[in-house]
Amino acid sequence: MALATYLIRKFIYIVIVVLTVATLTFIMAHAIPGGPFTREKPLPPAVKKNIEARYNLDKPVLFQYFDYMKNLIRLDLGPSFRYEALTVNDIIRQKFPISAVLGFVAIIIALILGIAAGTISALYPHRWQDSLFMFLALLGVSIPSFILATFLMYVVGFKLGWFPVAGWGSPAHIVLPAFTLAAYPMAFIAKTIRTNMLEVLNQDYIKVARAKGLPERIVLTRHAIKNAILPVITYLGPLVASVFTGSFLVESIFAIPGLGKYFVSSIYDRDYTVIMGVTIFYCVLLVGLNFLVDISYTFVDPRIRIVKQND
Amino acid sequence: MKRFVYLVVVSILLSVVTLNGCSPKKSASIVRYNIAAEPQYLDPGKATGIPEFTVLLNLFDGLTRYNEQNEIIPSVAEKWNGPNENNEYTFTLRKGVMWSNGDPVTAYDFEYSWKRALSPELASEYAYQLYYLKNGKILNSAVPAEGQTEFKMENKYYYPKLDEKGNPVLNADNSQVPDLDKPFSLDDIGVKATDDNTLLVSLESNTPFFLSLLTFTTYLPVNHLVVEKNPDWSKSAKNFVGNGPFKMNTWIHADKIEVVKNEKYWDAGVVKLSKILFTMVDNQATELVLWESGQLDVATNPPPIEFDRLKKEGKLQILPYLGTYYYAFNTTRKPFDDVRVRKALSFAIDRQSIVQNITKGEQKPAMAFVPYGIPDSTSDKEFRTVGGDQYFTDNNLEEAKELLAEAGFPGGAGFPEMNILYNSNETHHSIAQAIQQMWNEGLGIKCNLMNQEWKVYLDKRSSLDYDVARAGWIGDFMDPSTFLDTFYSSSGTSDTGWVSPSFDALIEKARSANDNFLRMRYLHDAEMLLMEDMPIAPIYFYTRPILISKKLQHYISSSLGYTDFKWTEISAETTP
Amino acid sequence: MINDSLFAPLPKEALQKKEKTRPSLNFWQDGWSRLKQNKMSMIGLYLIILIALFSIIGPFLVPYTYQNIDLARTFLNPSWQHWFGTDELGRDVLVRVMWGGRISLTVGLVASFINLVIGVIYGGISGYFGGKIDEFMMRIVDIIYSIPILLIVILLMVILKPGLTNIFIALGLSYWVGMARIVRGQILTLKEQEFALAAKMLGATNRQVLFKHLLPNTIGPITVSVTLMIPNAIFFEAFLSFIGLGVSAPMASWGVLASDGIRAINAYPFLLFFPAFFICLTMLSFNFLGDGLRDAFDPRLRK
Repeated sequence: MALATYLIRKFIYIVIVVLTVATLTFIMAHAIPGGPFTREKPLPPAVKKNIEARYNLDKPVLFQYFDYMKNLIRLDLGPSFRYEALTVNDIIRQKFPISAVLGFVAIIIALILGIAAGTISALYPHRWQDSLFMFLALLGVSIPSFILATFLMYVVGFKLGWFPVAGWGSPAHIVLPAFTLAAYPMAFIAKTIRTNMLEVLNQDYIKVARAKGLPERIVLTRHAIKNAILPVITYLGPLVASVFTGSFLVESIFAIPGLGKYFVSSIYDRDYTVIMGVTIFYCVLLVGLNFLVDISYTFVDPRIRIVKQND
Repeated sequence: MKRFVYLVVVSILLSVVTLNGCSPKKSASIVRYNIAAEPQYLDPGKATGIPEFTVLLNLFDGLTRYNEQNEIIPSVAEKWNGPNENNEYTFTLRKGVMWSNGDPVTAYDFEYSWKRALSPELASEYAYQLYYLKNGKILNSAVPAEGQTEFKMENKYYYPKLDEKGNPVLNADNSQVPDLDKPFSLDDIGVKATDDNTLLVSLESNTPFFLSLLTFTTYLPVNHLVVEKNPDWSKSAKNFVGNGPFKMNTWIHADKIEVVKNEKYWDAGVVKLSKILFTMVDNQATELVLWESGQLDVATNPPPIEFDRLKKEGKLQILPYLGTYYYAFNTTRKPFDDVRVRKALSFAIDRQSIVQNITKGEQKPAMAFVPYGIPDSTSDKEFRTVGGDQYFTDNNLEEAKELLAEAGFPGGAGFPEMNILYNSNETHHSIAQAIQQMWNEGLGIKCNLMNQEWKVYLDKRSSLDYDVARAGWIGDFMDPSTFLDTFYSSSGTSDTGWVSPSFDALIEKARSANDNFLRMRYLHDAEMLLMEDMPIAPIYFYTRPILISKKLQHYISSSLGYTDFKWTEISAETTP
Repeated sequence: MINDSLFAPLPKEALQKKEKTRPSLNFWQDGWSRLKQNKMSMIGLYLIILIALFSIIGPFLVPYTYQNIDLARTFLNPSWQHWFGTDELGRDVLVRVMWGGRISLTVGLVASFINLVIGVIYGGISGYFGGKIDEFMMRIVDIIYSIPILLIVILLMVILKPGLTNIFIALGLSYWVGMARIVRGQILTLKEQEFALAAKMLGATNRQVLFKHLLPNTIGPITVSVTLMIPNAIFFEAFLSFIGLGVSAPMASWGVLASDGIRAINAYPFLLFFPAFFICLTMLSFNFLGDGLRDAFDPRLRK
C-alpha cells in the first residue's frame, strides 16, 4: 500500500516537473530574438503575414501556449517549422532509435571498461596498472568529445582505415562514435570506482569478509563493488538520458542521422515545436531514469529508505 | 539476467545489420553529392535554400534551363514569343512531355503551379519571386474566403479590408478581415493556359531577366492532378512526382536522398547518370575526409583552413558565385551618419590582403557593390566592366586619414569606441579581427568585436542595434537589380537606416524603363550613388570553392549556387 | 613471581619523548601536514603554480602580443622565433596560449568553486533532510537538467555584454547539478550509518551532523567530480565564446584555441597540440592534487 501511494505521488511529481519544464522552455524559446522565419533577406510583409497565419504565429503568445499544451496532452508535439516534411513526433520516432542504439553501446562500453579499470586500479593502488588506467582516464576527461571524435575520424578512420569514417548503417559504423561517447563516462566511472573502492576496501566489513576466508572474487563482487558503485548509479541516470538522446557534436562529426542534432539546431532555427518536443522528451526520460536510480539505491544499499515506513 | 543482456545485444546488432541493406555501392554512373542539410521543403512552390534548389533542379524541368555554356535554352517550352510592348510572352510547350507518373505536362500545370505559389494559403516564403507576374503581389496579399485552407483554382479571394488610415483591419485572432465588396479573381493573374501547349504570361513591367528567372525553382511546375489529390505529396519519396531528368527514389530524412534516372523525361536520351545520391553531411571536416577517401564525388563546403593544401594538391576548384561580402554602417548613429567617417573606415580596409590571406578562395576585392558575372544591357558586356570595378581605391590610408580628420577625428582622437557585429563563423571572425586591427593601426580607432548567434545577430542588424555589421548578399537571379534593390528604402532589406530619395528614384526609373540600355544606365547611376554615400563598405565578391571528383564531366554549376546533373557523365578511365 | 626486579624506572629522555607526541592539530593543519608528505600531490601543486606563473608573467617575457595580426606570417611552424608557431592571422601562438591560460584557469577555478559551494551544500541538504525537502530539491535539479542550456545562453547574450561574468553566471545556473545529485546520493547512505546516529544522539545539531560528520565522508566522490568536471567547464567556456557570450576576440582561452585547432588537425596540428597539451597538463596536476587532498582529508582513509 505504501508503495502504491509512493508511486502515485512520484508520478504526480513527474507530471509537475514536465509541465514546468515545458512552460519554462516555451517562455524562453519565444523570448529569445528571432523567429523560425527570420531570414537574412527579410520576407515581404504579405509573405510574412501568410506564413504567420499558416503556423498560428500571428496569434497571441498565450493562445499559442494553451494550444500547444492542449496538443501535448494528446501527445501531439506538432509540426516542425523548419522541416515541412516532418512532425516532431516523426523526428523523435525516426531519430531516437538511432541515437539510442549508439548510446546503449557507448554506455555498455563505458560501464564494462570503466568498472574493470577502476577495480583493477583499486586493487593495485600506486602500481603501474593503477597509474596507466588513471592516466588514460584523465586523458578521457581532458579531451572533449568533438576533439576526440575528429581525431578518431581522421586518424583511425581515414589514415588507418580501420573503421568507416562516418555514416550509419553497419556495426562497424558504431565503433568510433560509440568510443567517443564512452570516453568521458568511462573515465568518470573508472575514477569514481577506484576512489570508492579504496575506501570500501578499508572498511571493517571487508576485513571481516576476508578474515572469514571468503575468496577475493566474492569479496570484490558481493561486497566491495556493490558498495562502491553507488555514485556511479547516481551518475548513470542523467548520463543515460543524455547519451541515449544523442550528442550534437558526435552525430555531426560522424554524420549520424540521430536525435542529438535537433537539441541544438532547433534552437538555432527557432523551430519552437522541435525545441519543445525534444526538451520534453529528454525531460521525461531523465525524470524517469532518476526515479529508477532512487529506487535502485534501496537495492544496492538496504539502509536507504525511500519509502518511509509510516507513510 | 545475463541471457537478457545477450538477447538485447544480439537484437541490436541484427537490427543494425538489416539497416545496412541499402549502403551505396560504387558504380560508374552514380554521383554522390553532399547538399549538407536536410531540405526544408521539396515543393518547388515553397523551396528556398541552395540544398533544395540543387535537388529540385534535377527532379523538375522548367520552361527554360541553363546549358553548359551558361546560356538560357528552351526546355519544357519549345519556343516563345515576346516580350511585346505590354510585357507579354507566349510560350509554346513541347508536346509529349510527361510527369514521372505518366501524366502529361501541360500549360495548365504551369498556370496552376504559379498561382498556387502566389496563393496566401500555400504561404510560400519565395512567393515574392513571382511578384513580376501581373497582379502577382495582389494575390499574395489577398485574403482567402472563409474556410479556405488549401489552394484550389476555384478559390475566392478578397482585398484586405483597410481602415481610414490605410492599415488592415484585424479579427480578434489577428487574422485579416476580407473586404467583401472587393473580390479578387485568380483570372487577373498574369499567367494563363490557352490550350495544353500554350502559356500566356504577362508581367508587371519590363523584366529583361525574366527568361533566366524561369529557371528558378519557384517557377518550376507541379503536377496539378497529384497536388490536388494529396497536399502532402512532396513530403516523402512515395508520392513524389516530378518532370525532370531524374525522379525521386528514396528520401531518408536528415540522412540522404536518392534520385534515379527518369526514363519518362522528354530528353532522357542525353541523361547519362543512372543515379544521384544526395548526402546531408553538415560537418566540414567530415565532408572533406569523405571526399578525400572517395566516398563523395562533390564536397560543396571544404574548410578554408585546408585551402592552401588542397590548392597545392590541385584538388580545389573555384566556381563563380553571385554574392558580395560587405560591412554595413548604421547611418542613424553618430558618427556613422557622417559620410566622411563611413568613407574613411571603408578606405582603410586592405581588401587585397583579406582575400589573399584569410578567405583564400580567389575572391576578388570589392570596390563596388554588384559582383562580376552579370550581363549588362547586351549579353556581350558585363555590368561590372561597363560600370568599372573601382569606385574607390583599395587600402587608401592617406585619403582615409584625411577624411577622418575632416570629420573631426584627426588620428582617431575623440572617436567613440565602437563595435563590429558579426555572426559566429570562423571566416567572419578572422575578417573582423583583421579589420579591427586595420582600423586601429591605420586610423587610431578602437573597436570591439561583437560575435553573436545567427538570429540574435539578424535581429540586432534589422533593428539597427549596432555600429558596424558584417553582412552578405547573394543574388537570386542574373541581374544587377537583385543587388541594388536591397537599398531601395521601402524594400526593408538595407539594414543601415540609409534612405536616399535620389537612389529610390533611380531604382523606380529602372523598374519602369522599357529600354534595356536606359535601364542599365539607371542601375549604374544608382550603384554610383550608393558608393558615393557609402552606407556600406564592400569587402569582396564571393566565389564558390568546391571539391569535384576528376571523373565528373559536363558538370553544370550556376553562379547562383545550384547544380545541374542533366548532362553529367562519368569518364570511364578514372573509375576504379 | 612479580617483584621489583622486573621493573625499572623509565629513563628521563623517554619521559620527555612521550610528552612530545603529536601536537594537537585541527582538521586543516592535520590535512595540510599529510598533503605535504604526498609527493605526487605536491608535484601537482607545483605544476599548477608553474602554469599559473606561465600565464600571468609569461606574456611580459615574450616580444609579441596576443592580438597583433601579421597576415604575411600565417601558419608558421614552431621555430626559435615562434616557439609554438603562428595562427591563421599570423599571431604568435605561445603568447596566445599564455593569455588563454589566464581565462581557462580562472574558469576552472570558479567552476570548481561553484561546484563545491552550491553543489555540495545543495546536495547535502537535500540528502540529509530527505522526504519532501529532498523531493522538491531534486525535482528542481531535474528541471535545471532538462532546460536546454543553449536557450539560457542566448537569453543571457541578449541581456548581457560579452565577458567572463556571463560565463560564471551560466556556470552558476547549471554547472553544479551533477555534483548535487552525487553528494545527495552519498548522504542518503551515510546518514543511516551508526556514526551519524551516534552524533545525533550526543546532541549534535543538524548542521554539525551534516557538515562535520557526513560531508567529510563524501570527500572522495566530491574530489573526483570537482577535478573531472574542470575540462567540462573549460570547453563550455569555449562554446560560449564561439557563439558570442564569452570573452570576445582577439583574446582567446585554451578551450577556444583547442576548438579552433581541431579544424586544423590535418593541415597545422600544432595549433591543436599546444592548447590541448596545457589543458591535459592542468588536468593532470589538478588530479594529483585532488587525490592528495582526498587522501589527506578523507576520514575514512585515516589510520
